[in-house]
Amino acid sequence: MRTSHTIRRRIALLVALAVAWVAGSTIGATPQVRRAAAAPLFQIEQAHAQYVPVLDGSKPIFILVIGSDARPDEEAASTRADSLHIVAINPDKHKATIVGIPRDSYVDIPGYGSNKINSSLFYGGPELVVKTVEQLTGLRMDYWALTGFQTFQQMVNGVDGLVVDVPFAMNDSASGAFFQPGIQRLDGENALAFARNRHELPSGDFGRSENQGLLLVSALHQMKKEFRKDPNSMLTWIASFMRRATTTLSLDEVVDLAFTGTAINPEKVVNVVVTGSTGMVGNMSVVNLDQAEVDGISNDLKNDAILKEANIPPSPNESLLGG
Amino acid sequence: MTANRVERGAKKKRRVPLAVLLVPIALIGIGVVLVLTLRGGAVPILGGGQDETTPPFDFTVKGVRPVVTSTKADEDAVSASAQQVAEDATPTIDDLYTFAFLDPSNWHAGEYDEAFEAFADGAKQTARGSAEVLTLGAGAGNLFETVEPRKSTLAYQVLFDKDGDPNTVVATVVFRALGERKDGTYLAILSQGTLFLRDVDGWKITAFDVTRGDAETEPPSPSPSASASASS
Repeated sequence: MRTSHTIRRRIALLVALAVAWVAGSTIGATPQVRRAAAAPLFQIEQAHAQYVPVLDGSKPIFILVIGSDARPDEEAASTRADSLHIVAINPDKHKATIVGIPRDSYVDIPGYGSNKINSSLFYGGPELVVKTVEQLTGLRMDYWALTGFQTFQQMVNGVDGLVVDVPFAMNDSASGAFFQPGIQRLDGENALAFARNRHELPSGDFGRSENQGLLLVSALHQMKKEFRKDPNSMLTWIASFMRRATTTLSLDEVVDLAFTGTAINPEKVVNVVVTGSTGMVGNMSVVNLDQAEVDGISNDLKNDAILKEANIPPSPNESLLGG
Repeated sequence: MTANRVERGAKKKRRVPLAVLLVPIALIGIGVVLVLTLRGGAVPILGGGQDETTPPFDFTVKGVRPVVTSTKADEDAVSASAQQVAEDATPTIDDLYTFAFLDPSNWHAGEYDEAFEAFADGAKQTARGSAEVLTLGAGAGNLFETVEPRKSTLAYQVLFDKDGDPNTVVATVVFRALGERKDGTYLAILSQGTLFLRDVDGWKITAFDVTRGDAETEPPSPSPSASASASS
């Protein structure tokens, strides 16, 4: 009897051991399988995350972009401002407006009396140009940036040229602008020629100023496109600008603005030129600006850098654009 | 008395021995532990932890290019400075990817707070909102058994100001890892993109453009290094 009991107990123990092992293995393994099965399916697909530190706030930013007629051996800040554009940016709404001011605009230059606005650069450098534009428009310029002929070309070459949708045929030997209409990449020399061409334009300097604004829009377009393709490209644009332009913008600010630029739709940038009538002062050919129009544009831009449709003057190149 | 003792003795003899009850219970526990330990999985019943060892990981830096904003920059000086900046910035990116993809204590829990320390304040919120792209994901603990790094590279551009001081670092990142799922299948994890870093209390990410391109993959073929990493 004792032997029989002992045998039965041992068998029971062995069975229990076997059951325990199987049970232990099963308990240990099963939850994982269940958890894996219960887990949501892992989505295998391209996923994208992006953040650019776009400037925020509703306060618009005004930058005066000055193109001097300085030749390679001249100091840009002591020549004439042949190209003047207010670049107004609304960082909050990702919008921008470019307002061209004709170089021959006959205005009051603080401390120097009335003269062509382009002479303000010669009299007092970029700071006096800023004061003059501020007095003319009532807009406060936050920054200015200045380029000359050579530095402009170098800047354009620094980004491997600008892709521009040339709006109409150009054939001007004075500037060297010989272009068929359409999208084309302009190197520094050709971009300068495009920017300088006025002799064959019906509205002369007004039309030229609009084309200069178009170059700015084209640059924005291209920078944005290249940034999308390869964000590294932004450094090329920033470096090219900082190397060649003279500016009150710090590198930090240029970086911030470059990021902000990537959020602006270039198709919606409004590019206008203030209008006026041409006349003579002595033997000097001048532009008498339509001050009411200037005031209307300035007041409209002051708070949000956005120009209402009603305040957009007609394009000076309208007749060439087939509009 | 004697009869009672005999009765009690008879009753005792009929009871299942205590050892027969306790030993199986103990063995069930041991069995669970053994199975899970051999499989490298969790031990939820006993309250033990999963293998929380983070595999060692460092990016391989492929190149460093200085970008100057001055026409009078000393090329040798900025080149040396750019190398130093890359050395200084790399730990930020190493940490980001280690915490976001490789540290098991993070992906088991689906929480990646340490990873977001790599981002500057302005970018942090967006980064957290993009956690499913920038990390292994909230549900990774339920899905993966192991995640091991694979060769990953960084290439730098360093923007210098006119004084020759580094201003902005742009890092082109290609991060690869191999995830073994609990069902035995494998996922090639790929995170690639561009990180902009600026020096704000150390190099922090201020902007990013990152894409995940994970893909199913075959189990790795056995190799000395693979077995070593699997057992670690």
